[in-house]
Amino acid sequence: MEPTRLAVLVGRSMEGDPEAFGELVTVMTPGLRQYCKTFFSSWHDAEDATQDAWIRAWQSLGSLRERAAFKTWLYRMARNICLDRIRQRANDQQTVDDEVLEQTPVPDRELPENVAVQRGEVADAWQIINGLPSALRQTFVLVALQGMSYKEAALVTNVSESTVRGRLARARNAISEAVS
Amino acid sequence: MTTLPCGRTSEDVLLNLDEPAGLHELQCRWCHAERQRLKDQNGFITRLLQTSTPEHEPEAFSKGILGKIASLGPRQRIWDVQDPATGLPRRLSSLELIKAIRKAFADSTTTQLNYTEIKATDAKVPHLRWKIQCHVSMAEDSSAGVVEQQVLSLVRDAISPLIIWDEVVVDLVIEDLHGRAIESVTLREES
Repeated sequence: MEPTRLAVLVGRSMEGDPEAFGELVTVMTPGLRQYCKTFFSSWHDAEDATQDAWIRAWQSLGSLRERAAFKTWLYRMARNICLDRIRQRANDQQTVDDEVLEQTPVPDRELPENVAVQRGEVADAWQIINGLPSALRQTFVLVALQGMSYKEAALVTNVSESTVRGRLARARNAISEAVS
Repeated sequence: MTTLPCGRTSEDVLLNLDEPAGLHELQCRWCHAERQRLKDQNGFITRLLQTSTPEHEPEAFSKGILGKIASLGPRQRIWDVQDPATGLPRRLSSLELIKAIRKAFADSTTTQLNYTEIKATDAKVPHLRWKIQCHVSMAEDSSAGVVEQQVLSLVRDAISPLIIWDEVVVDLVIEDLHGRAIESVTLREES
């Protein structure tokens, strides 16, 4: 979403306009849902957390100081919700939901010649991500999937930019080893 | 971790993958090739994650959330005002006043309203003194002076059919494209 459009929608939402908030929800939910998935083994749990994050965002919009920081503010809130839920269910296992992965379609694009991934391994993308330690998983999804800058990812995960850089490199290295 | 023939490692290349290649990487064929390989691999995994994310129904999901927030009740304040047409007291929500202000700004070609907030500053009933916060971005060919004049006039035109007022104070914040404040000024008008 363009920054100007986002600024307007966040502004209108802060004014109490549910229509504008609904547009934010529609546009930003896919990314937020993927980020929440980095905390849970099932998409269902990720969706519950995503929904909670949006409801809390609506209730807390008045505390948002900088509209330009809405995305990091929202993701930070989602992160706290996910962590709270995990703490509540201390025995939550970070295992992959094989059933969901089995149903995912294989992309029909041709693989780059220099990427040594076999067709049979293609469905394991989320399994590879889920195999990473939580901090690396979160960082990778925020930067590589959600297009956040290192600074934004650092704000969401509450660490320094250099830590983000290090975590991202480690995540990419682990992924590289997993698919090569 | 792979050590390249030049002595650097894959991790060295990975640490700066999102930045332009440094002088060494531009000149070293091993580093250059490793960077390309890692970028391809990274792009592939990213695309794969996007395509292997199970679909959800965005509209149903949004509707569910909107239904829940609707049950939380309105977030706007309600104000006691005096209707200019009838002279009678009535109650208006902040959102009703804001919608009128937004409508007035909608046709402006020089100013975009990003955020506005309105509140009465007196304890009287009906309220006669109002403070309005307007965060706007302006067109490149406009100037702060023009925007200041226009904003005060748009706000006045928007609220006058809805409320009788004695004083309007506009806290104007001019923002850049990302919503960051670049200039602010307070404008005031008495009826």
